[in-house]
Amino acid sequence: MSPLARGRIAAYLGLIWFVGSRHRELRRPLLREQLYRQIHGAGVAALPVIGVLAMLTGAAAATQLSALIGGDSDLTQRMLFLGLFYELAPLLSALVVVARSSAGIASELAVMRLHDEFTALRRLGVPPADYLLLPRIVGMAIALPAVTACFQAVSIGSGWLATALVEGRPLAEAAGRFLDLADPWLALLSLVKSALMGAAVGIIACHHGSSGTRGSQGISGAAMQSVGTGLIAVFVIDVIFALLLYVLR
Amino acid sequence: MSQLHANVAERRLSLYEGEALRLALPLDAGGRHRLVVGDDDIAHQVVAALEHCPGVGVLPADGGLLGNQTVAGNFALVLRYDAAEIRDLRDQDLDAAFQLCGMTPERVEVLAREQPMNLERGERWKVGFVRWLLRPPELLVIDRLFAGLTRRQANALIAVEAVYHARHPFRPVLFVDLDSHELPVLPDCRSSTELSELAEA
Repeated sequence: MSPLARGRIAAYLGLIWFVGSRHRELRRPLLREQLYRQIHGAGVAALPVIGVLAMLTGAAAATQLSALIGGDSDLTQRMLFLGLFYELAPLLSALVVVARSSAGIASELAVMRLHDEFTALRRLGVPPADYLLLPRIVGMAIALPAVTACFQAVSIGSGWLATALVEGRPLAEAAGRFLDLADPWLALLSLVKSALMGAAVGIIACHHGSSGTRGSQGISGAAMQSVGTGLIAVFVIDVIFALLLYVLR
Repeated sequence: MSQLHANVAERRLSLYEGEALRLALPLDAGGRHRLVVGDDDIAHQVVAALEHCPGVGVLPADGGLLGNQTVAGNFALVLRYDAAEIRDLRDQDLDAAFQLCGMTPERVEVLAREQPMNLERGERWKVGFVRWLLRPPELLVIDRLFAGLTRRQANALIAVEAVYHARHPFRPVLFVDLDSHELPVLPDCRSSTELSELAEA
């Protein structure tokens, strides 16, 4: 492993330790306000895009599965649960959040660093890491599972509707079969996976935004590195959870 | 270059270059003091050494405000960070402090919603100054205030700074200035020290 990669991993681990040791600071009203702002920016504001994407993905997946499998509704619903609900929903939600928020966080922090605002905060008696990094990382870890849950609800709803229309069955039957086959522990695990993806994306964006070269190139570099590394982190976590599921079964 | 470092002991701030004492300031006698330095690099080192001392506040020429927040947001951050709950900022102390600095309530009303980037330099500095006026440090370091200002602008800001001494008579202020023949005279300046260059280590 190159010294650069080792340095980055050490910095990411340092940020994990930092969040673990300082999370109680979020009780401060001003930090809580920052946390809510972050959740709103990364979560609530992403819902229109997530809603449309989820509706189209659910309908497309259910239609393709019905065409491929035929009238075996149980298999269609099982694949909807494992493929769409457990696998695709957290992954696509994470991709949308990485595309929208990761570059935003990194470039915002890089601009603040360029204008010496980390020093300004310290001079005001406000710890810069507590105020700038903590709410962003925790906010991402909360926002992404919430966004994923919305994606799951909308995509599965549109999947049921598509199955009902394509296979000519009542909607309640498709929904009933899905709910019979769905494993609540896997549903919970998908949200845990999302939370970890959110935390990883937040940590990576905060690291690249608050370090690296200063200047206009530093801003674009921070944004690009946070998106690229964030995507890799999301897929690595996804593969780990897929392997975990395989081992557990 | 020798390392500058500072410490506070027995109500006295001392700035050392290596082992040599370059500046000593009493922290309980108030008044204006001036440290004239040779260039930006030395000024940066001096301010960096001073700001690590407990009780030292630094006011840079741009007011040291956060650009991504409004002026009201900046005040909320400073005055309410340790507070248990966020209260309305438009309290009497804040209004009174702005008025002492020559700003009308109408201007303050507009200012509160502005981003610091949109204010002119003198006004940005005044906002930063009001912040320290409300929460005075043991020693206020005013960092390179006069660079690029006309004599009239500089005198106007010195007049505003006088408010600090009237309100906190026992809190000293240290002006860190660059060596320049245009440097304005500080009225009632108790000490003036020159630090034109630092010795090689």
